[in-house]
Parts: sequence; structure tokens; C-alpha cells
Amino acid sequence: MYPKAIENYFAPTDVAEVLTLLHQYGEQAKLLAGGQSLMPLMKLRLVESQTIIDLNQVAALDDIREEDGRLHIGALARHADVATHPLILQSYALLADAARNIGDPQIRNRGTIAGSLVHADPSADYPPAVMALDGQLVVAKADGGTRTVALDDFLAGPLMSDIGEDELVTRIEIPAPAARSGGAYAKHSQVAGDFAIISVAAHITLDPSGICQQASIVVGGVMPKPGRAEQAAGLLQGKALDAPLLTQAGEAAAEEVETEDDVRASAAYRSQLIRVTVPEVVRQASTRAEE
Amino acid sequence: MKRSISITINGEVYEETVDQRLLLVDFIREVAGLTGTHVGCSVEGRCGACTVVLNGKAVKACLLLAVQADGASVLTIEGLAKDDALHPIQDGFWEKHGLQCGFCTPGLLMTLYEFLQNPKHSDEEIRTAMSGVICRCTGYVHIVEAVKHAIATVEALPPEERKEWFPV
Repeated sequence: MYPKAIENYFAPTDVAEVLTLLHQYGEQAKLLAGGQSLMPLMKLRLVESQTIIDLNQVAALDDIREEDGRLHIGALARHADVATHPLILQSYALLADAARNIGDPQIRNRGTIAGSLVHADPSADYPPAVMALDGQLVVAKADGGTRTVALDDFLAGPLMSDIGEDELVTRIEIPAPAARSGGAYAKHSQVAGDFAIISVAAHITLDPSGICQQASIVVGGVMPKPGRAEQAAGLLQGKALDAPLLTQAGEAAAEEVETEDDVRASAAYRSQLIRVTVPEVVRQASTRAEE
Repeated sequence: MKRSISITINGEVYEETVDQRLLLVDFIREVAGLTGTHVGCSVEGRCGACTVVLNGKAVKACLLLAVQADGASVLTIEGLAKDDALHPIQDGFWEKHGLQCGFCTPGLLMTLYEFLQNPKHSDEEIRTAMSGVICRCTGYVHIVEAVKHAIATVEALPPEERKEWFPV
């Protein structure tokens, strides 16, 4: 299979140039980042854009750093870089877990964080992880403005995100976790590196005596987009995270997050996976919080 | 529609005016005539047979446009051996019978080329490293043995000789 003929191929080297091209070509244009989802879609002719704007030559769009109490991840940061970055491994381990779970080594060498979030596959690894960390996207607009949007609001549904024709995601921002915080991410898939049947991301903050001060739990692999298990997270707040409480949180999450049947698994199986995975992931998150 | 590009493959420069939709794997096979890089699944990048090393990173050449590799350096299976000497990873496959039909082998070797520059040793780490290439005949047991053999070979090499086997 082959992509449809490409009339215009551009490889701009800075963000301003990308925005000018977006302004000029609008809906006709498609942004090409890692290409690990877009290229298959082009070959299947599900995407038939005649104008491709390749972002891979844009300078300084892949840096990872902390600034003003926030983690900044450049839009073009590859999964392999996020999975192994010392800063992320140390303070945002949940994100490294998610990155490491994506596809395979070759895909992780090319695929990008913003590409994954804009693509908005409900079974992808990054969305629940970034949601659990209250991540936001910084979006540049062709008219020169920028806006910041929470990932919860940015994800609109399966393969649908709130990105305009004349907009470019330039980075992801994540608030630095409070002291004694930890996160974890795990997924169940049919084969290694596949999309999730169910995935769970959890982020926990403990007080010095081990009582849970804050918890967020997000479940991926459900429609129309990853879902927050708010009741389950609420159960944890103000309590010591002992085994019976974690079991209870798993029950609550399985109850509140709606699941559906599809080619990968039945709704009932998904709910059962949520029930058993939430306690495991929360336990790992709290272990990391104590480290 | 067409664009003139220049890609260095195994140290040799290939210049050609190509269709902008031409895939990198087809540039390698059709323009450069290097048919050691294989096309398996051809759609989703699932099989990994087309894996090459692009600027030092293992990538699936069916998920890149050739125009994206303009100015880049590519290493393919044909670039591994030196004269009559097999690359340590090739030698591992030879010694441990790491292939049967050989269709996936170029993809595996190029994926493992990157892995071997900083190899990890547990069976799980080796299996994770090759999870992006699908073998449909031998199973993976012999391949894991081949990788272990190659790791031992590479680790026994003096640093300067090791560098010679990993130029990119």
C-alpha cells in the first residue's frame, strides 16, 4: 500500500515557518511528526492530504527541562527520550512507564509525545499518564497567539482532539509534583507493545505519616477517551493506603468507569482488569512516593 | 510532486529526483538497489523487516518518506560486514543458528545493531530489544542465544575495534 501523491512537501526549520505554512495551506495540510500513526493512515488512504509539513527539522522542539516549577516536554520529544530521561525517571516515573510501553524500540525512536496526544487514540499509552499528572498542552496559533489547554479538555473523543487547522502543539507542561509524590502506569494488551485493552495511570501524594493527601487515577482503553476514576481516587484521600482500601478502590473504579466490547476484549473483561490493576498501580505509585 | 534528494547509504551517496510519496524503504531497494532491506507487512510497520539505522537510530523504513531522509546517513544490512569478516551480530546469528528462512533477519540485525552499542543482558531486555521485529519460523530462542553470543563478542573487543564495528 502506498500514500496518495503528495503535491507539496515542506520541511520547515522553525515554528514561525510552520505557522506560516499552516496559515497558507489550512485544512489541506497535515503535520508529520514521528509518522508512526500518520504514515499507516496515509497508506490506508484514510488520510489523503496533498500537503505534508514535516516537523522533524524544526529546531529546539524536542527539549526536556524543568522551568518555573513545571516540566516542559518539547512536542517532538521521542518516546525513547522520555522513557530514559534522568529528570523524568526521577520525578515523573509514571511518564517514563507510559513511554516505555509504547510500541517497540523502532517506534519509540520516532514517535513523539505531541503526535500521540493529538492523534488521541483512546487506547494509547500517553493520554492517561499525562492526564494523571494534570498535563497541559501549549498550542501556537498562526495569528501569533498561544493558548494552553488541559489534556482532559483537549481530548475530544476517539481520534479527535481540539486542534485547529492553523495550530501547532509546541510543548507539554506538567506541574512538578509535591514532595512525597509518586506515580505508576501499567497496561494489559494482547501482545507486547500493542494498544491497551485496559491501562491504568495513578499519581499519589502522601503526607509524612503515609496518609494519602492527593490521588488521581485515570483509565485508558475505554471509550470515547481515557476516564478519570474520581470516586476511586476520592476513597484514597485522607487514608493510609492499606490492602483492603486498595481493593475497595479497584472495585469503585471498575464500577464508575464505563467499558465497552470491541475486537480486543469484552466490556466485562475490561472491568475485571480495572478491578485488579488499579490496586497494583496505586500500590506501586505509593511505594515510589515513599522513596 | 518530485524532489531531488541525497541520502548516504552505507557510506555511499545516492542522489535522485524522487516522487515525494516514495517510501524510504523503496528508495533503498529501488533507487540504491540494496534489496537486503525487506518489505513484509508493508502497511502498519508491524513486522519490522524493513528496519534500518537512520542517523544512529533503528527505524522502520516503511514508515518514513524518502524525502525525510534527505541529507541523512543510513546503514543497511549490506553495510554491516567488512570485507570477508561478519559483523559480531551477524556472527552471533551464524554461530547460534539465529535464522531459518532469513526474511526477518535484516530487520533484526539492524535493530540489534543499535541495541548492541549499549547492550543489556537479561533475557527480558534482549527480548524487549527485538520486540519490533516479527520472526515467523524459528521462534525467538535461537535468536536470543545469537544476541548473547554477539554481546559476549562485542564486550571482548578492545574499545577501538568495537568502535570500528559501530561507525554510526
